Amino acid sequence: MSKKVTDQINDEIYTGIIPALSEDRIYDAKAITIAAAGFGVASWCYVQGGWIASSIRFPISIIVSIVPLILFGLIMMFCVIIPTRHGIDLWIYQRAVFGYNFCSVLCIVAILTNWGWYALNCKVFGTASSSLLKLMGVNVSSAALPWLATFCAILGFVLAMNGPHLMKYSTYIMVPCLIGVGVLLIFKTLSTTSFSQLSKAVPMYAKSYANTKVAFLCMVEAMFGFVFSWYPVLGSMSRITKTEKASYWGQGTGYIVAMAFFVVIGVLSSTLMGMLGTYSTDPTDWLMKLNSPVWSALSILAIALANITTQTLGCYCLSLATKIFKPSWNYKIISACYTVLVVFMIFWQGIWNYYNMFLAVTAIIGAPACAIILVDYFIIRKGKFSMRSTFMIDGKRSYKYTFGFNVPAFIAFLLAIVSYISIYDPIKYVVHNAILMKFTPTGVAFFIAGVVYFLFYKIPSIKAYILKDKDEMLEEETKRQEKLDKISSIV
Amino acid sequence: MNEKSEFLEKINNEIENRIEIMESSSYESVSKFTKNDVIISVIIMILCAVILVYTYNFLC
Repeated sequence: MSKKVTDQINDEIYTGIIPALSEDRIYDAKAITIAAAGFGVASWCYVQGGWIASSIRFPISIIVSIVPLILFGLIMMFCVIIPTRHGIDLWIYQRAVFGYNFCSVLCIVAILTNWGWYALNCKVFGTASSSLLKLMGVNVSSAALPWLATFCAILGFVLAMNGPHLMKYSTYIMVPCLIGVGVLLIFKTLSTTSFSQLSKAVPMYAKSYANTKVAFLCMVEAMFGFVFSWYPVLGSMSRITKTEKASYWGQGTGYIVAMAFFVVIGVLSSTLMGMLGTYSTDPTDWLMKLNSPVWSALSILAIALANITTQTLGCYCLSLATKIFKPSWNYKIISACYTVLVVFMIFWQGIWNYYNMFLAVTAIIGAPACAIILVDYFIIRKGKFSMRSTFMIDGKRSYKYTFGFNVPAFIAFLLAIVSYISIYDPIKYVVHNAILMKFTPTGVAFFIAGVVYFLFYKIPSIKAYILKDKDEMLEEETKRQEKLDKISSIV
Repeated sequence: MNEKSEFLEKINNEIENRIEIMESSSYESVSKFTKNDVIISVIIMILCAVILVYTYNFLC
């Protein structure tokens, strides 16, 4: 093997789909917590916080910013145990769950939708940088904003090029700094007002909802949808984490706590802005208005840095997920292509208008997918599946099912989507079924997908269909046993 | 054989090797998630659900 190929293979452990062995793991509890928090400090948290504050009154807005994130976040985190246990990306395992082709369809939709969030992220970087330059006395025209946003996409790409090792150390520096600035920002914001004053503030768009209860449910739903934006990136860092405990609690803390914290900052700032009579989804507007120039500069700088960190992590995780289509694809080329896509979205002016659409699509896909994954791994397969078939090596193709679709999983998935849409229209915020809305559309979709898939499994013929890999695993076990017997007879 | 197909073949060989290592009895897998972790997690989830129901019924 030429040296170049050997080096490439070694790189493939961290920037490819090759299973990571125990000794390859680089993220301990601290590192994975900080890396996951890199997603949690993104600008979309401020946007989400602003949205919540404009819909429901303080302090219920604070409860909505934290509690739904913990509830569904902890459920979803059970998915990260799979990549950590087996050293593979969650997308590889999903081939066993959904079948090769259905998994690919899900992967494409989830990844492409996810890039919309990152484009939004870069946009906020653009406005933050422009505001920062303005504070320094440099006026930037609005035509230059997309170019500033493009700079964030490119910087994220450059950092992601160096793989998870550099990312680990860059998040070690950036994330604690950002959280520190966030804490100071909360103190600063609270020092300008009181709790009772905040409670008296009337949300700007409260009248868009039938009543407070409906507004509350819509915002809880939005937070559940927010949780499922993590779905496409769950496996990339988990597969190189040292223990299952570190992976679950580390990512749980990183994603949930950091996100809740920055959503709360968004709520506080937006409520204060509302009291002053203005509403904006752009966090830099609040920071400029609510703080002194030094504070504004500091907090805007924090936003800019946070966006670069998030862009880097997103670029790494989503590019790695894409390699399930063809392992020989070059990680750097995939990342470059995605960066071009983000730049295209940045220059497309309608990106802000589609925020709730991104949220809805991620929830509609993520919730049933995660429910089916959890039922499949922990209840149906009980942690046992054919790694050879998931990688399609040695001619093993147990997860071909029917034209590459696991039909029971597909039906459960479709039923969950239908149930979601029949309860709630996430684009126009219209509730179609008031009773089921109490359980939230994401909650119902999650429940239906999991239960329907499990009920299918209870039918003997479908059980045999889902567990097609059983024979293959038996065959492998026999081969291994024969090998061991041979060795022991020689000894 | 060109470099690209050689690379793809090597990737598949490497995957195969690693699967064999993982399946061998001597392989030390990463430490598992314990029952206590599951219990703690479920308790937190129940608490969150209670807070949400309470907020919906009494604070909204």
